[in-house]
Amino acid sequence: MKKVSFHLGLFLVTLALLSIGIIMVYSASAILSLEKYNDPYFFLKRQLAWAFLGLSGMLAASRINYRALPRLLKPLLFLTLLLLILVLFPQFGKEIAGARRWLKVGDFTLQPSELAKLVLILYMADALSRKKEKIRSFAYGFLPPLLILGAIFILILLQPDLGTGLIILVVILSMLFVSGVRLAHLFSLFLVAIPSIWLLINKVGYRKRRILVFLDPWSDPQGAGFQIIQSLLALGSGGILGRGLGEGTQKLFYLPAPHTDFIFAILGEELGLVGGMAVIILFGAFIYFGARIARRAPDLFGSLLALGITTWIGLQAMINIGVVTGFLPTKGLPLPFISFGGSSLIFSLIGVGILLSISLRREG
Amino acid sequence: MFEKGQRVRASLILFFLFTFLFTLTLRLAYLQIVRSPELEEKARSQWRRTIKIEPQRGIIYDRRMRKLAISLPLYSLYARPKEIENKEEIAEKLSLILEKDPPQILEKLNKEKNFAWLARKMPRDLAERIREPGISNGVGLTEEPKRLYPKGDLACHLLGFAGIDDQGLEGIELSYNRYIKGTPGWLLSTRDARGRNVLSGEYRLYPPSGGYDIILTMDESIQYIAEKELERIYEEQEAKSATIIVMDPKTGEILALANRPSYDLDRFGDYPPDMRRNRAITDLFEPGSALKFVTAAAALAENVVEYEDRFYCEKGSFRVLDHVVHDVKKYEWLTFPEVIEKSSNIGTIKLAQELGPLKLYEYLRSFGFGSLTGIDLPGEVSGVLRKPSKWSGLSMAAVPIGQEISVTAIQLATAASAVANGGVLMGPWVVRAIVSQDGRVIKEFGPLPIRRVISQETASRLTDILKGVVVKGTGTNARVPGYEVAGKTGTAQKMDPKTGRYSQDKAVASFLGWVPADDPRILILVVVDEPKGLTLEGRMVHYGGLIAAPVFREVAQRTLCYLNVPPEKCPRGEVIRVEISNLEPEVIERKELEREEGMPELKGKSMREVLRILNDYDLRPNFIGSGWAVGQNPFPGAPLEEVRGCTVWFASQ
Repeated sequence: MKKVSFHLGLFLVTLALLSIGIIMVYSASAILSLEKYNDPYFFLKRQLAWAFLGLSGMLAASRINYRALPRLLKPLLFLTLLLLILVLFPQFGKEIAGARRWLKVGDFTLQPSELAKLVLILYMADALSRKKEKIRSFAYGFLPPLLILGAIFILILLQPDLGTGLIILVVILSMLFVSGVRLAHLFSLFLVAIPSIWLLINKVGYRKRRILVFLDPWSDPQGAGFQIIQSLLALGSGGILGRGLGEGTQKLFYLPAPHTDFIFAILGEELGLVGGMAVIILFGAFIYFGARIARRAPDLFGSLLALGITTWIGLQAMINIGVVTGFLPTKGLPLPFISFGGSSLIFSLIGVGILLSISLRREG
Repeated sequence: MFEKGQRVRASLILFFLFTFLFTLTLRLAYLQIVRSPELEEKARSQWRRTIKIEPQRGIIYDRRMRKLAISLPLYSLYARPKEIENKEEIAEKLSLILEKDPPQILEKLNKEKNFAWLARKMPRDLAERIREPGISNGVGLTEEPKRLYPKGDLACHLLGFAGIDDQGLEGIELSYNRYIKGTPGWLLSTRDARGRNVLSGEYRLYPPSGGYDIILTMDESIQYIAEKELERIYEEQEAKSATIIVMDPKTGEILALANRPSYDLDRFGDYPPDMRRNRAITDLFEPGSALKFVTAAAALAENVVEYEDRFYCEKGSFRVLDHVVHDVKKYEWLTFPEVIEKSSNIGTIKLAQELGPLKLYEYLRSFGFGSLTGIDLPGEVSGVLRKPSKWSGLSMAAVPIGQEISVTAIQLATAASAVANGGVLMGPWVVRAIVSQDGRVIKEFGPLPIRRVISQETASRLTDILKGVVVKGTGTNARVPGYEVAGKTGTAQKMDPKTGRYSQDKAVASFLGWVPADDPRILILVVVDEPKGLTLEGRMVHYGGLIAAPVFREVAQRTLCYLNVPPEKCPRGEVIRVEISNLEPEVIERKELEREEGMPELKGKSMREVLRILNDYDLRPNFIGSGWAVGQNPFPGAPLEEVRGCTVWFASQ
């Protein structure tokens, strides 16, 4: 094996997205945090701290041989399940807008579902690569990972966090698909999944409203359509060149969550189509580099792991942008590397670290 | 490391991801290019706060730059009810300042509107109290100019007024509104979703540009003189209404125009529209004998009559069909000038018969009856002058003496001006110039000759006859000492709408005349509607010569003095009380001219020069206005004895 350095392109793309994120978090949150915490740098300072933590985690992960990771799987799975259960209890879980997604840790909060995504991808990659031969049999190859997946999926839906649940579902399915699971099995899974998703949407009032509003935001401009309308107004105001960094007005309490889930709208308003396209192209590059790492990984585990992480981050970015542009119904998903939020940032960066670790040990 | 099949499947996933990503770029481009204008507009309507800033209306000046209408900056308080959280508290606080009941204010704050006025046009000190902290949220002040008329009811019908929204509603304020009004300014600022101003956001001020100033042909001093006399006769005679017009017959300029009843411009809302009507141009009346000058003018112009021609006046009673025309006195033979001087109805009808209906009608039209004079004031009516084809058999016994024809006061004055002006009809006008606030002349107006109505010679021959009216006819009360006056009286019985016959106790008494007769400076028309009358030889009469002519005399006398028109012959030892303006009433003793020089001429001199001259004469100066001297009291040439001081009016330009 030749001596190789880790994938510089992926590293730079990640750094670029991270930098854009830090700038946009400040721009989008300054007025809000001045109002709320009497300190315009409140969110910026935290984001910087997490970026530092995340980058440290990333570099650490890139140093660890990814092949050693399966050894941590059992405790990690146990921890994940534990946290996902704990978060459901009011004593530990912090309820925000009707959902318990955050664990209280002192002054900070931890989002176990962010950990769950990474751990589950790791687990699937391991399971699928070790059961290489059995993968085509239902009982040994397909079912056990599915049970783990089901347990985590249901726990996340209980929070409830359908967005994360769907991301996990799609990422895992694509890993299953690539690893060679029979299409018939996948298809049967769809047959089960689609009606249950339909039920989940129809049963819960706000999801149904979100869908209806997605179809026509202006049907309820003051209610459910408010956020998406404000998001569209932000993007439209930006035009091609944007109104200039810091010059946006939609963050003036018009657009809810301007520094978190809807940061892309503020970015589009202030930096225009040019800025938005830059972010999309960076994510495109991320996916491309991630896919290259997956193809060049020395083993199937590395390939599946790289594919899972790349699909996770790429898909989440696209769903977020899809929501912000009114192309998809509203989901509570952050934009990786850019949205404000510690758990998402740290685990995404650790994910990148693992990708870099795989790239270090590529074949040829 | 993928196997071959896995590689294909991974590529499929990659393909799916990139397709998705590409779709998103299309969506983003669609939003930010195609829909950008529409979305941006919607966003802007959310965050942009637009406050209209009212412009200040221009000043209305009289012909000597005295201010008749001005605008003062006042403050108005508005609320944005949707942005107020603590409504009760704010209502409570505002009620203390505005001295209104809290529920009254709360009601306005509770409206489901974006905007509501809480108080309009309050003075600065009150406005400053509202700036106190704690009541600023959702409540704001804006500057709103208020129109003020410092002269009260003076020239109210001429000036008109502007309403609370600074929109001209009557008079000059209405007809020149688009010049006076100015263009509003805008304050654009950024607001956040909670309605607060964002200082870092867009903030642009487009200042309003004030309206143009108007300079009238009207002279405040003459207006004052005219109104004073009109008021007196209106009160004395308990008249239904009264109108006076003072014109410069050579130019058509309106020097004064007033009606009674009148109203206070600053409180126009307290008066019924009936009192606010500018009767001089909106109300019709039958002019009666005052119109005979037109019949005489036509007859002279058409050469159907000579000075020496005699008319048999039927001893005061002349039968036309089943109708009997009467004269006030039983005349037998009168010469043509005597017919006019004594205002014989029968003589005038016979004169008109020589002329024929078509010619009479032609001249009436030519003098402007039956059509608008085009005066630059709103609401003028054209009067009623029927075509000869529609005349009845009696019409030739009515129209020549001012019946079966309705005119406005402005029509009558304008028509008479044509005679005074040597035969050329001049359109009446009230605005001399429109100037911008920085002194640029936007528009300048000049005399507007309409047409030659009669020849210069006919005009001067008619003037001679009309001089006789004042010297020895019905208008002797209009004599002005020292000046020759030409004029015509009018006493028109009013038609009783119930009986369809002319009433005995309701009449319109009028006098129109000009002075000096051969080189007129002023033409005055006085119309008194339904005077209670005067007792003459044991009878109640409503003669224009008795009621309106004295008003003419008083106004003419003072105006001539004010205008420094040298008398043709100066009466001795006569005391004339002259009031030049309502601000500065002064009594001048006019005695014999003992010193040739008398009072120095100050017109056109600077303040400094005037001060030096007055100092030389040992006179106490009293200055009004600034700029160059435009008027003085006492007038130039006035004797210096017993004069202690001199009032001088100044105007810029």
